[in-house]
Amino acid sequence: MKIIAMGDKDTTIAFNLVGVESKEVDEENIRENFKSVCSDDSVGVLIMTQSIANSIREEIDLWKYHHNLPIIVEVPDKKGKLEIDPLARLIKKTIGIELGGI
Amino acid sequence: MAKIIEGIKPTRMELIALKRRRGIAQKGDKILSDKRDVLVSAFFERIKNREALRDSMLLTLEKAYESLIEAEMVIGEDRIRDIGEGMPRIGEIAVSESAIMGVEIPNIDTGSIEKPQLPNYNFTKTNSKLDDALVNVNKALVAIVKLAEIEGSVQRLAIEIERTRRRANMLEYVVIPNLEATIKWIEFQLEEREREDFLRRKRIKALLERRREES
Repeated sequence: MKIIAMGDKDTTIAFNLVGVESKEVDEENIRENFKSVCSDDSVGVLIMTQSIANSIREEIDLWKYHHNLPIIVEVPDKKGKLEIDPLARLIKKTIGIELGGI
Repeated sequence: MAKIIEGIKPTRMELIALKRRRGIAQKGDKILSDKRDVLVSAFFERIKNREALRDSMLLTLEKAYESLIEAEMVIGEDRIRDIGEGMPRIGEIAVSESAIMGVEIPNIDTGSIEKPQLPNYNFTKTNSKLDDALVNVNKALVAIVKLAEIEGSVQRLAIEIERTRRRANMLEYVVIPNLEATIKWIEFQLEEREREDFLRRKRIKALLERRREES
């Protein structure tokens, strides 16, 4: 299955360098890009920068709840850190335990 | 509060059917809590590696960005993008699914991406920072894909644990108490009817005896 990266310019350059198909997106066109990548059955892992993911947080949460693939992994962009941990949030919501870390 | 199930007549047939349903519900409750135990242990087994993997992903990615930015300053963004286009594509990763208690858990084979891409660009026109960036992004990618496997399975498990718990609670706190309340109600009704019958029989007996004495 394919790996696809979505994010700002620097992120796409970085992942392009190692041969990962990369799409440069911004907050305007993220929705349609997200939809088209998710409805593609051949995508196994979707790498997204968190700053982009934050702008469509609800869609991502909904998608994750109902679908197995693609697995969405959020990475920091070049500016730095991850602010939220979506998996920890999901676990807190569903099972009610807190994970350490971010 | 347990409620008596509506639309059921207080008959012996219904009582037998209800008792059978209660048995099935209790068995179901037991199966669900066993399932939850298995899922929870699988969940913890997978989540314990996550923190370390996540940290290493963040670290290598940070390093990768750093060297990439330095390389961009010298070589230029557009050139690096062109070099990226020229690099061999990473190809496909093998994703298979195994099931734990009916929950599909992804397994990703990272073998195909673990060895770093060989640079095929011109060394005289680039610098070592680009090589560093290449190595680090590749390391980060491997960590990301490994993390994807863990996060994908943990996420599925978490959702399924919640569903299982909700269904077990439904049985435990709604279905079984309702069945029990209905069973109790029918038993009460049947006893009441029996007592009435008993009284009626006694009175008829007394009536008949009195009539015999009179005649």
